[in-house]
Amino acid sequence: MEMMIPMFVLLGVGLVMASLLAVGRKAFSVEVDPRQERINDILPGVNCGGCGYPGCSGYACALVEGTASPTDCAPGGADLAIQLGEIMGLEIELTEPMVALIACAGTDTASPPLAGYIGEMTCGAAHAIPGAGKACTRGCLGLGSCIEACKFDAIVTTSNGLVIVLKEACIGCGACVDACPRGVIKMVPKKETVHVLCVNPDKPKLVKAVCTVGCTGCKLCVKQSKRFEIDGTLAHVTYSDDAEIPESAALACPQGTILDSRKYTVAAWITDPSARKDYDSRSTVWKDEEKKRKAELKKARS
Amino acid sequence: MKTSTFEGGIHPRYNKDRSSGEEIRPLPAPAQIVIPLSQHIGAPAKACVKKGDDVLMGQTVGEPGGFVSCPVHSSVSGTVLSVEPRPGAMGAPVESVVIENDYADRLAPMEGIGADWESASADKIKDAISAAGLVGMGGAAFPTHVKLSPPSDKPIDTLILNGAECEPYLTADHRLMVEHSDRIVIGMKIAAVALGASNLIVAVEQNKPDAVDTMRKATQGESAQVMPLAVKYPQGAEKQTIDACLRRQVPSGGLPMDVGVVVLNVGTAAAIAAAVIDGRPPLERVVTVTGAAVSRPSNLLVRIGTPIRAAIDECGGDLKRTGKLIMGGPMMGFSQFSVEPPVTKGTSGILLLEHKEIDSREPDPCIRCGRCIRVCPMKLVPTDIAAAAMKGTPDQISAADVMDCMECGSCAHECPSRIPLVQQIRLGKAAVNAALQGKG
Repeated sequence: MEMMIPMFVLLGVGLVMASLLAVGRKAFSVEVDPRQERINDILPGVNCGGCGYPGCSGYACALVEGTASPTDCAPGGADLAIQLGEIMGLEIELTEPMVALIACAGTDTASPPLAGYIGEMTCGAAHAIPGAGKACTRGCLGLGSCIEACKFDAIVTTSNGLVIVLKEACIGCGACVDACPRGVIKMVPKKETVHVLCVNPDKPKLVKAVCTVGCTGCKLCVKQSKRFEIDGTLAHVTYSDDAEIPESAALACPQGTILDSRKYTVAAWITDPSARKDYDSRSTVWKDEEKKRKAELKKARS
Repeated sequence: MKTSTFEGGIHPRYNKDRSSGEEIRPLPAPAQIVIPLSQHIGAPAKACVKKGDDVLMGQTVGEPGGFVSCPVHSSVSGTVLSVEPRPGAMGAPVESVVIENDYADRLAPMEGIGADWESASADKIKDAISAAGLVGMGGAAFPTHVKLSPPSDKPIDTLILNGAECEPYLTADHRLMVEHSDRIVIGMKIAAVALGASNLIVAVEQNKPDAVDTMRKATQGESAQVMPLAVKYPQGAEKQTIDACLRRQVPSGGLPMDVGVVVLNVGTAAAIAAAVIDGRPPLERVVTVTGAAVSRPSNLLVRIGTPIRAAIDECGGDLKRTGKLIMGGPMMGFSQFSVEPPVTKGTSGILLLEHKEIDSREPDPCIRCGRCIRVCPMKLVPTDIAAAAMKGTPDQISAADVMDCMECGSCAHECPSRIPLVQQIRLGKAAVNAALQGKG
């Protein structure tokens, strides 16, 4: 009998506590919009922060409050945006899916380092020291701070001192853009195939002194397609237009700065010299252009 | 011999023997001189000559750009070739005056106070020092006239002349004390008049017994006292020298003047003597050129603005064998990637270290051994600062007292995992400064 006393006492304590908890749950319950829970269930749950809110639940909260748009979740893509729109009862205007682009082709051989670098192996640390890294002070350092920032393993290093984005894995959250101390990474529409891989705005002479594949602003690409624009001495592709860029555009570039990914993947183009053979023994497009331009200049002068 | 010192610090290999016995000899002036307009901490000077101008030796070529700034002078006579950015000691290009040497050494007229400086007023002395563009010759290159002008509510009672020269390899201050002790003592007395300081101390590390002896002889009959200090790095850092000599601790975020002390490098003292008595700006300085890749280690008297290439060639430096080229000392100097940068007022050494002298292995993870904490002369916790600097917010970085770090490198030297602690701490400082500027 004596041994039964503690059992009943504990049972009694348990019953009292359970009823307290039951009352407490009713009395102190926090009302949550049922939509928020449904949204939380369908969000990817990777907490990438690309939407600008603290994690996926933060985004769900902001969606219900009406401060976020259903299209803000980059990893979810179009399918998720449509589902979110249905839950929220909103009309969805689908945005163009974006991917990150490393706008630099300056490998170790194209822009050789001035000296060895011993120290903290992050891009921010090397960028703070003049002379550390490659000769070009504007381009990719290749130490991979963007790789650390990427939660989707979408950026990898190459063997020759650059990093490249794996287009299939990139969900376009933009975390790498903030991680790059030199602003080499750009967000571009996923469907785009032709890019100018240089961000060096310096004068042509200075660019040529530090890199063999840097943009000199010669404007030969502009003659091939209206999609190219020159800003100072740096060319870039305008992404607001939909016109097809001809394959001759990349071949027209005397520096080989323009990548045409219809012909080569970024990885092949940057790491495998044989893939660039066409560029090096370039059909004479740019040479012809150069001749034409010189003749025009002569005519204008005489 | 009883010696004083501070808590913490390290004992690196000093490697001073190869150059400590070499007498100071002048390096012939090169055909072209590059005078950077920013050779000091503070606002850069503004060029006051233009291309094609004829300049005299000692003529001002850059006017000071503010109170914490200094004029710069031509160290040769000749023609100005250009005023343009040239590679500087910090790696980035610096606006510089390039002068072609005519080898005539035509001196500009100089007007000093003369031998009766003892009767001159403190302001007159400070003006002469300011006009000569004197900066701390130990390496930090802080304008001397600013150091000698403490606010009136902070009276200075002690002037310490710093001849510790705790950086490994360097012997420039050592040779200066052995060969020119008289000028150093005159400079010290002039600075004492400018400051109104009565207590004079010459602090020398006791691994330079000949310098202690000559300084003792030179100060005989004076009120100055020569204090031999223990051999330890960073014994020559301002706050550590004050602690060792006077047992006074400079408060966090404070300056030596807060405890009534001014510390001057011995080289600065010698330059003060020339600037005040003769009105002669510092046109040359003693530079130690050494390291395993140098066949004739020397202490050279080099004109300011001489590209370091000239000094390296003179001493038989082999760039092919060089693993690391440093301007300044190995602990706090700056690694170079070219031989173009010129010698400035703050360049105390040029080191050509062989591959075997440097450790280029990759860093390993921190093993929490605490050696960096034990050796930190500022009693900081480098592991915490570095962790905050790499992963934390600016608030967390300042909370780890990052701004009290003087970047002496003791922690990184002692780290068995070879973690670049000083570099990480510098990044932390930059992040804190950026956050402060953002707040306005």
